[in-house]
Amino acid sequence: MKREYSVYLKVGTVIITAMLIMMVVSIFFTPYDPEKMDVEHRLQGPTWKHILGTDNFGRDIFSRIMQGSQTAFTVGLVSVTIGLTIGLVIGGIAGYFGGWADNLLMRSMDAMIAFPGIIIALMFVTIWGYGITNTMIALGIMAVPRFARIARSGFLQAKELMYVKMAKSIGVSNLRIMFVHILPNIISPLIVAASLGFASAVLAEAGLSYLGLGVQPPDPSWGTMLHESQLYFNRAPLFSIAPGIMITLLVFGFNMFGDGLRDLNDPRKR
Amino acid sequence: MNYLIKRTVSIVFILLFVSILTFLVFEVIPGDPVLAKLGIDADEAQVEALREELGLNRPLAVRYASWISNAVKGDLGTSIRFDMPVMDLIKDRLGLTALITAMSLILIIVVGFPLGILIARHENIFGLGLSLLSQVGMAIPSFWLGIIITSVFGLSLKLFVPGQYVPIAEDPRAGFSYLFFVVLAIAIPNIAVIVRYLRDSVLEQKGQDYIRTARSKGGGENYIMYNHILRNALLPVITVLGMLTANVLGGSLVVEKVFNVPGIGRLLIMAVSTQDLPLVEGIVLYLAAIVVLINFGVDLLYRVIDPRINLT
Amino acid sequence: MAILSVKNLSISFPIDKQYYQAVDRISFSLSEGKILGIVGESGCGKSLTALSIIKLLPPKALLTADQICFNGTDILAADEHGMRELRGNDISMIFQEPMTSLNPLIKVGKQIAETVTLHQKTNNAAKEALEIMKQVGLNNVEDIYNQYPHQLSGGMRQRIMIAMAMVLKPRLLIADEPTTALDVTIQAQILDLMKQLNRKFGTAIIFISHDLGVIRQMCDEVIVMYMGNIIEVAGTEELLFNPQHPYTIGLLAAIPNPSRKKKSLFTIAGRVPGITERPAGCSFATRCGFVTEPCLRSKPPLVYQQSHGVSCFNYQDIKREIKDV
Repeated sequence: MKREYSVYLKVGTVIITAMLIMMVVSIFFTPYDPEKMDVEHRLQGPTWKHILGTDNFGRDIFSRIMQGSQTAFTVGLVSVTIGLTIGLVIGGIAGYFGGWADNLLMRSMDAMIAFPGIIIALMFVTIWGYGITNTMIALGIMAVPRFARIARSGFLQAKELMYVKMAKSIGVSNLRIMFVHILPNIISPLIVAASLGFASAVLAEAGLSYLGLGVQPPDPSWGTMLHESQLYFNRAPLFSIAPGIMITLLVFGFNMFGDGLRDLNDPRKR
Repeated sequence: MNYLIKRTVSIVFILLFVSILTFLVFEVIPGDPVLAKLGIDADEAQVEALREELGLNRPLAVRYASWISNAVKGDLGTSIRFDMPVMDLIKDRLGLTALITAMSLILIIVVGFPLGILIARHENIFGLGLSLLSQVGMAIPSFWLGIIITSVFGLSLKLFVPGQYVPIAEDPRAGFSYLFFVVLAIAIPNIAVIVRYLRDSVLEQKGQDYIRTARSKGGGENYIMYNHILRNALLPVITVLGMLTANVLGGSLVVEKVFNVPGIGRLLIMAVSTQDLPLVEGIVLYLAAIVVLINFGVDLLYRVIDPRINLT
Repeated sequence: MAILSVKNLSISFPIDKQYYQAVDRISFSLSEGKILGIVGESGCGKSLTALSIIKLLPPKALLTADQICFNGTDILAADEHGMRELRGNDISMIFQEPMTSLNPLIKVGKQIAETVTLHQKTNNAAKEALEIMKQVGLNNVEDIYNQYPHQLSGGMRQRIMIAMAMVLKPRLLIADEPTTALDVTIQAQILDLMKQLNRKFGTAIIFISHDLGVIRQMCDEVIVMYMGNIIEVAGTEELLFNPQHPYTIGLLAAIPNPSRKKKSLFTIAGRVPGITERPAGCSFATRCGFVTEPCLRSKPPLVYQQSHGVSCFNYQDIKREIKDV
């Protein structure tokens, strides 16, 4: 399938765009106030008034799903930014300067990769407490090694390029070479990693919040909704199904986008 | 031998680093554990005595040294909540999690490999459809799958009683059939991962020069697939198995809660939510060490199988 | 007696739903036991021509021809099963990169024996492999049998490839740039070996190269291809000393020659047009220094004088012009 990547890119872009639109709309408008409780109408099935029904406090599930997208995007964006920034610094130093700095930094990254991601996050929230901010920081740290590795190999290769050597020989500063001359060349693998990292962050946040150790109520999050819904599956199955589908869709979208982009940049697959 | 020595040194280094990291992370904890234990009303002498007793007055490096040497001897300290040695708690729970992980890996391999090959053999719209499907599979959160499985197979079809795990020692049949559903939830997203890797790997090998050579010798499609392509395509997938083990273990930690299975994941989550620091610390160190060693094993296996890599 | 005869062979590829000709109605034949060279720049269609003879073209390629006949077998009509019986048995092929053309995970001896087991029910495959390994000039064949491709040198690997192709003594061997990836000294040894095998077993060879020097050492007859067309065909000596087509003249002049020290190195101006931008008339018109109006309008036919064929409207004028200079 020579044009598989274009299918991937299209599907990914469509899903991400649709989710983005939903998120932006939810800032200004949701059918109901997502926080408004109505205990008399709790755990209702889907009706024309509540198309996904209501939750255990009588809140409109559809409105909460919409608002949950804000959390998902925030968590994804912030944690990727944290991971990317720290990873770029670590990988940049390791790749550009090499030597013992490279050895020390990259062996530390290896050590971090040894932890299953969720354990790093759990360790972090044990100490600093739960909540959306700490979740984002924890997931950001979790993503650092991935970005550091990419940045390192990019800088390592770029360092050997003729024009970088030339720039060095005419006395351009290391920092300027790193950011002005090398960075643009490794931007595309970083975007791919960012997209895939976004997907894993969303997935991990959902896991943590489901365990009750991530985003805390009343902050709406799809993972938290799953945490709350588990007891009521029989009475209101959509309460559990809807958030799960949203998580899957968003993760799927970013994975597809990242994979498609990677294959687009891979000359062997074009 | 060069490789083995190098690799062993790096394993030791990584383990050391993991332990330092874990130790430091729990050292920088806000608040004073002594005050937390005695309460703020405790008088100076009491606090000082406990500090002395817990060894908190010694320098950081000394404390790390004693902690790690105890850990190597199998003493990971005492759980605050259970008031039991951390090591005993882990030992009690580890077997079940290891069983779940092993069962998941077997299911992943048994289903994932043939499926990946099947998909790779169909380079058409069917193959594209299945590969999209595997992408969806990779995106499904395993705990959510667990919730769905619980309600469909447990609540509706009544194939098992959700939340009522029967220990295998008591009733092997009931125990294993319960675990099967747990394993299903963990395995499905990972099957998707392996299918995708295998498919990419097979497709990459299909385009190699040596395949053209095999054709020019008179080999048919099936012959070439099983005698030439698979051999080369499976090799890189072995390295993915190492990564998958960490995935499966991580997945198990969360899914254990969905199914209320008393494994190490439940223990860890309980420890995290009750701020039982020695227990969290111990479990983290233990799991990380296991993952490091499994990856080492996988790497070794890869090198033994691939004739291009010389072990000496 | 011709062992291979090809008439009006065309190969085209679809790009954005339109088919483009990579090889355009070429005809040639090869006599039993002879060596035919095909020379041309990369992308001229010489490798595709070779692959079409054993029907190993990429799946997307569209192959049409009036005839491809090998040793009395109609290749065009043969199905995949029939082709499989021919490949490796009657027609073999060796490729440019011996490293990537061998399976990295299978012992080289086994890969040679595989050619035998694919075609015969025999327990002697290993023995036959060892025998042919000796024939292609390998020493310590028992040791080498159990080695993997990466453990051998480039020259040895190419010998393994040749052994693999020759183990069943095929009637025709197609060699696609077999020495391009090798050092010059090894190159000479491999060429020598192929010539030897050609004489010993009477195997006809189609030898593809971009290097006229190598072609000269090897071949009885040479076809010059340019952008999917045969532009000139002649016996090797005839072609080298009496080239007719401006492209061939250019190619020969581009070979560094110590006896013509004073003249600057001749080069052919411009570049080969891409597959989607092929001209309607003579394919060489865009780079030819002698282009006239008819060249742009229609394609010159391949005109023979005895066994020397040339596809050029103006070759006689050009000949005169060059002599005058």
